[in-house]
Amino acid sequence: MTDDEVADAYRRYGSLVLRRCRRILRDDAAGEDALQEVFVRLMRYGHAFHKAESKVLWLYRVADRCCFDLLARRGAHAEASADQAPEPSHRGTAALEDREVILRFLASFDDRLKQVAVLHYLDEMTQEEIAAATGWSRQTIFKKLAFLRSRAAALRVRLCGGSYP
Amino acid sequence: MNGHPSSLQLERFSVDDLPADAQERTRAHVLGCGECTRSLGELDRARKDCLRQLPPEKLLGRIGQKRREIRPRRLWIGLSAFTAAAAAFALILFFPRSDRVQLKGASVSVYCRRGEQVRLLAPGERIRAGDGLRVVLTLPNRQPAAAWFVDARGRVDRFLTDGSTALDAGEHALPGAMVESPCIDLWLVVAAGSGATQRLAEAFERARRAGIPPGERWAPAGTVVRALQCE
Repeated sequence: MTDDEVADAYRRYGSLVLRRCRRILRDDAAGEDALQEVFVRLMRYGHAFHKAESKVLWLYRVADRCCFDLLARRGAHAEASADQAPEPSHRGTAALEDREVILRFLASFDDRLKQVAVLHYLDEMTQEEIAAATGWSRQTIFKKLAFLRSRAAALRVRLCGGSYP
Repeated sequence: MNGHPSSLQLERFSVDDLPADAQERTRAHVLGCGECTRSLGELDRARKDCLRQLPPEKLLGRIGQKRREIRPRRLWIGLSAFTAAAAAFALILFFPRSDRVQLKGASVSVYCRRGEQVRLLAPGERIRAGDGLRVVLTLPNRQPAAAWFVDARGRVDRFLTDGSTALDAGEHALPGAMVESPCIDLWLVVAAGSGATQRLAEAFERARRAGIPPGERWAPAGTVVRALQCE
């Protein structure tokens, strides 16, 4: 892709990508690093971006990958501090709590679980939508979501003895 | 549309990325929904903030710099399988084998390309920015293996990660790495046998959690560790 094309894509989609990276990484500076990496990859793989039916989904998958790589490098340090307030959501309180806990401990999961967690808790996708987006079976998604819910419950206990602040 | 659109749908809607029918349905919902209108307003403000704080020209400058920094390493890694195999053969043919580190019958050698010269890196020998490193792993029989670099900042480069796939007996020239500038101390950690990748991943994770400084102590028992310190 040319510089002009990348700049156009950034003007249109950059803030969405930055927002996503910051939400996954829970760190503004790291989010900017990931944003840059996403657009480095866009420059390199522009042909795939041009072909993508949804530019946002294409960029989000790349952003997820970049964030997971950063989380892996950062390791356990990705367990963010507990002083970050939950973000608003259209979903109910239980889902919000699970989302907060899971995203807070995202770095501790393997990449497949991270992907399912992000699609479900950040993008609010259903099992069917996640299965379609990842190409994995619904049974696989069901099992992974069940595991994430059980982890959320256990982590909530670890964080604050059973109740969320 | 039942209930609110998801956050993903709203984000896609805000940049006209939904299919036409979904775009229309979302538009119809948003027109009558204060909550979604507010969410769209936040996205719009975030877009303006983002462009003000990091204008496209600045981003292009940064990614240009980033590409220049990573290009040498990519080129080195990007050697074709044939070239890598030929390089390994040449390295094995022309260099002594006395500096190998043993791992249950397996051995690990590190070669350093500095300028036009390629040589076997002796234990304790130091590296410098711009050195090209190549690891040759020799296995006595078919088995899985994992070989990772960890640097002094705790960054892990998993250049041989597929521990679930067994490698054939014999010499394996692994993808190389370029020592970055400024130089930073590296440790090569190699594990062989079933679950090699898992063992490394768990050990590194434990070390991180325990706050152990990156280095030899990150490696689990039964692995080969080769320290590559800067000049």
